[in-house]
Order: sequence, then C-alpha cells, then structure tokens
Amino acid sequence: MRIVCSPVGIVEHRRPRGGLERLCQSGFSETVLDFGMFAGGFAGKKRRAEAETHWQEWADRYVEEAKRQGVLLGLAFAPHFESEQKIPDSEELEIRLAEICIQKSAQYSIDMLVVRSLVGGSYAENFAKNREYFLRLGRMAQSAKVRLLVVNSYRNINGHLVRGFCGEPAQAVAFVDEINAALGAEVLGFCLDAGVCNLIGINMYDFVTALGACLQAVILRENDGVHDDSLLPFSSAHGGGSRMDWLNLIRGLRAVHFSGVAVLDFRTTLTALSGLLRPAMLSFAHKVTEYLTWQVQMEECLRRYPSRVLFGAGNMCRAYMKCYGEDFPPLYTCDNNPQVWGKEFCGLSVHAPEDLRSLPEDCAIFICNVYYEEIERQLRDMGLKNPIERFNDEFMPSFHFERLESDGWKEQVKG
Amino acid sequence: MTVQGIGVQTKEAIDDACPENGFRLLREAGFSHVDFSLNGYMRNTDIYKMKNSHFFDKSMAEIEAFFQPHKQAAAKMGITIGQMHMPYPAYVPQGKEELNRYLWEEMAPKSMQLCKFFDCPYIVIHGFKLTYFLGAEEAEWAETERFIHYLAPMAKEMGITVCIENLYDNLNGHIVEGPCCNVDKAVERIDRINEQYGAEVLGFCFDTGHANLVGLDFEYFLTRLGHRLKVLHIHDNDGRQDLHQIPFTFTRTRENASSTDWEGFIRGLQNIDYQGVLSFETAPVLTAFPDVMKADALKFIHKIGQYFATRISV
Repeated sequence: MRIVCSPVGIVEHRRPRGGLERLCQSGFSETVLDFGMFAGGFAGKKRRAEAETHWQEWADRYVEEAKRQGVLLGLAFAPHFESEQKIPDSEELEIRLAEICIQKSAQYSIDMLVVRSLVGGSYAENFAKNREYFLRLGRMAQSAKVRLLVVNSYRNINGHLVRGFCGEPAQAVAFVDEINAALGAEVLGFCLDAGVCNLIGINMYDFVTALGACLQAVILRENDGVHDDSLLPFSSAHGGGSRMDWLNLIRGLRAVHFSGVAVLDFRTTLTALSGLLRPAMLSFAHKVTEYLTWQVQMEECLRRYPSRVLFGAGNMCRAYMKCYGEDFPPLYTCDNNPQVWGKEFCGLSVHAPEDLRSLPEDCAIFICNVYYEEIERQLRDMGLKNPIERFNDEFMPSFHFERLESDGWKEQVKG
Repeated sequence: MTVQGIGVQTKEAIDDACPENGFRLLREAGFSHVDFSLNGYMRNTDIYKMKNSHFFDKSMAEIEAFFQPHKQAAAKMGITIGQMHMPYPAYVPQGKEELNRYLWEEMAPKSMQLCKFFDCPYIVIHGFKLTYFLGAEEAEWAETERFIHYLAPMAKEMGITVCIENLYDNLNGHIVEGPCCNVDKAVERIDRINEQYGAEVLGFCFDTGHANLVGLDFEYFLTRLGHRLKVLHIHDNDGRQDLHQIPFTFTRTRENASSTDWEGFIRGLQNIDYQGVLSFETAPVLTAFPDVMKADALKFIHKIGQYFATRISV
C-alpha cells in the first residue's frame, strides 16, 4: 500500500511551494493532483471567468513545483461539484473538465485519474447515464494511456445520505466489468472512498474483497457517519472508540493484499486548526499512516520470511495462532516467564529467550507483546542479528469470543 | 393488483389480560392484519443481559392455552395474524451455553409451533451478529444458515416461511450494516435454500427503518428481492437511531421534506407487484403518545398504510 497525502487543506493552489514543503517535512513523499483545487472558482459567479482562464495554468505550476521538490504525483482527481453549489451547468462543466483532466494527466505522466459519477434518476437510469459517460471518457483515456477510476458515491435524500452510484459492491464490480468489456481493455478501475462507506454504514470488508483486483485506490478519511467530513483517522471518537469501521476496512485491505494507492484526506481536521498547529498535525498524520500501513501489511510482513518465531505467550500469541498459525507456523514461541518454559501454549512449545541464539539467521522474531521497545532492546542486547518485527492483534481477520483475562492465559498452558 | 391488507405489531396494543380489547382497538383503527410480537415474551434487552424469561419453559399445550384467547379474539375481530416475530437473538456469542441451548432448543421450535397454532404463514428471525468475531460476513451467515437449516424442516412441514430481515449493528454510536443488508447475497441464499428443500422455507422481511439507518437504496433493494419479499416492517427514523416511528415524521433540511426515501419504497413495491401485507412496526409510537390518543395514533398509522396501498396499486 502506497500512502499518498491529499494536498487539500495544506497546499495553497496558487502558491504551492510552502504547502508542498510542509508535506515533505512531515514525511510524506507523495501527493495527488486534485484538479478540484484549481477549479473551485467555477462555483462562484464572480470567480468563474478567472477560473476558466487560469485553472490549467495553476495546475501546471503545482505540478512543476512538485517535480522541483521531488514530490511524486501518482494519482489525479477530476473536479466534482455538489448540487448544493448550485452551478447551473454543473454536469456539462464536470464532463468538460474531466475530458481536459485526462489530457492533462497524460501530459504530466500521471497514470490514474479519479472521476466521480454523474447523478440522477433511479439506479437503472443512473447506470445507463454513467455507462455512456464513462465509455466516452474511457475511449479518451485509452488513447491517452490514463487509467480512470470510478468512486462509490451517495445520494442525498433531503439531507439524509443513502447509497448512490456504485454504492454496493455488486454494482461497482458490474459497472467496472461492463465498461472494460465494452472498451476491450482494463481502462476503468475503482477508487473506494472509505468516508462514503462510513456515511452509509456499509461493510467495507465485503466491499474491498468483492472489488479485489479492480480496487486501485482507497481514500482514507473519517467522519461521524452523519456529516460528510474528512477527519484524521481515529479522530471521530465517541463512547470509547472511533465511529469509523477501520476494523473491516483493514481486514479487507489485508485480505486482498492491497498494493494500490491510499490517499489520506483529512482536510476538515486541518481547516479547523490554526495554521500554527498544522505542521504538528501533519507530522502526527504521517505517524497515523505508518500505523495503518503496518496494520494492512501485517500479513505481507509474515510472508516475507522463510521462518519465524514468536516472542510472548499470551493473548497476542493466541490471536496469531488463530489467524495465522496455519499459513505461517512459527517454530516456537518464547517468553520471559521461566515458569512456562518447556510447556505448550496454543500448540507451540514455549522456549526461554536464550534459545533464540540458535535460530537460523533469516528467521524473524515476531514480538507478540505490546512492550515492543523493551523486548526489542532485550533481544538486541543479547546480540541477536535476526530480523525483529512487531506483530499486533488490534485488527485481526477474526477474534476469539473471549480474551484471556489477566493470568487466565496460564490455564491454557499445558505441560 | 392490490395489497393483501394493512397490519401492525401486537406489541403495546394487545394486553394478555384481555386480548379482545386490543384486537377490537386495532379493528376499529382499520387494520386487517397483525404482526404477532412473540419477541415481547423473551425480550432482546434481557437476552443480551444473559437473562432468561423462561417463558418457553411451558409445554406447548400450556403455551397454546396461554395464547388461545389471543387467537379467538383475533378471529372474532376478523384480524389475521399475518406474520410473527421470533424472539431474538437466537444466539449470544459470549453467552452461557445454557442460555444458547435454551434459545435454540426451546424458544425456536416452540416459536415455530406457535406460528403454526396461529395459522400464521411467516415468522421473522434475526440473523446472528458475528462479523466482529468471525471476520467475513460469509462466516457469520454460515452460522445463521445453520440455524435456518435447523428450522427449515419444521417450516416445510408446517407450511411456514422463515423470513430473514435486514439488520444493523452499532459501532460506538454509529449505525453500520448488520446481517442481511446485501441484497445480492440474500437473493442467492434464499433461492439456494428453497431449492434444497423444495419449498418456500425462506423469504425476506424488508425493514424500512433499518434500511434507512444504513442508507440502503429502497427501490434497488426491493426490486432486486422480487418475489422473495414476503413481509414488511414499516417504520421511520432520523437516520441515526432505530426509533420505530410513523412514516414521514423526519426531516433534515429547511425545506422539511421527508428524509426517508418513501418514494423509492413505493416504486420498489410497484416494480415487484407486491401483494403482501403492509405491516407497520411502530410499537414505540403507542408508548410515546398519551394513552388517550392510542386509538387516534393507530388510525393515523392505518391511514398511512392506505396511502401506500393506493400508491402501490397505481
């Protein structure tokens, strides 16, 4: 999974230098080209003429500056207008701009462009309308060698948001397949907007796994399930947890070994902050993306090594054995508690840490205990040169019905 | 074609001490059908707290004797028991084995027998909510399907159709989809199981309130369900909580138009030529309004049913 940070809320569309610098300083090496940043003026009568004249020039300047700073641009977004913006010709405008964006993306060597679907009518009517639209765009994209990505959307029923175009997994897969079949090539892929999924409460594991290989990008943004905000992941907390179903999204991305683009969009969080605090928030956001990447790629990490041992004989080890014990069997587990050495836990023999000295060099030690740093230090102090990785059971493919409480796990130890 | 009738829950309308009064009230409000709230005798709130009401400790003869006045009163008032709600959940993931065995071995088969006793053709069950633990929805469904296969031979023998219902789940106060919200999967599963038994042992109960909470596209869902739709739970909410209120109650914008897609609901039922009962699951309305307004509230609910019936039959 490649993490990309959206520039919206960070980069100023006419003067991109400072914002792009701040992105780099926070640790992000890639961003997107969101044409919507430059086309915002189309929504206002007074600024429309200026936007018409300059939006492409502003986009050119942005791309030039990103290149100068070495910031990668792996994905572009075509402008999209909401009905609340009350632009009289919004649909025609959106179509016209999308067509230009295909050419501009090709010119900038950006190979994927996200295009929002058109709205209107029943699902069948909307399908027919978007079929025509995406076939037309698809032909242009095909000759420009740009891949189009369609996004799941919602419909607004008098203020209540419900499933819109490609809002259901089967609808999304059917649409992508139909367009590609008609074009005779894989021109259309899918971009899953996790924020939209949360607003309509859909099971993201189901969505991601149904999409499989057509899923090329995912937009990581959080909201409270009611308002269409783009908050930093895990920040819409209520009653002891986030109101965003990260569990099922991570489960899904892990299950399909997602290797596409993950766009972090937290514009609402950023715009609420003082400019003085934004750099700190950006650095924190980068930490959040590192955490999400770690979680999504947990299984990839296990697969990377020819053999592995675990460190820890508790709930995390138990969770590992439930979900990964069969596919990635550890040689054994070890623990600092001498009372369990030589005994058996979840089908694994429990060894003393000293036994790790006889491991083959390429065998990885997976720490199954939240005291990661302390254990890693202990292992390094022992002079072990083996790869040391951190396993975590917060977002597992499945869970035991009961966790072992306090010392209850010891009852599971056989010996 | 027209719908078969208009119904409402027995919960909060029928008093066990004198069922006839309640059925008379419903008759006077215009209802032709009821959805028998068997779930009121073993409440979900209790089950989740691992409490057992032990209502189903009684023998079937005792249970039938208990409900004989209800059956007689309904018949006397010309009301058909068109559907029944089985107590739920039928499985508590972290519950004691004793409770889960009771739900499976006592509650469920006796509910089926009672459904037969009332000559009721449909019984609504809740699928198990297990995705948090099991991960994939398919794994969760496998457990629900195990329950359905347990009920199906009884259903076939008794001529009853067990109906699965679209449900929701709660994620730190935010409502997310629960079992049976994917219409494509529901269609495949219903057809497969019915083919296996050579009878309509499984159907679908579309719950408008639950659908609204997770933003289902009413028209798409109902159209795709087609003939598999057997019964309805019609009620409204604000899109955030499962309030079971009167349709057209909630608005979200200054224009004050309904924020629930009732037009999509009507179009969906029109598309599939629905001829079943328009059944309201609006018991909380009866506790919200003053007792003296109960009859008027019921009449108003019935009037909305008539409105839907007229629109659907156009």
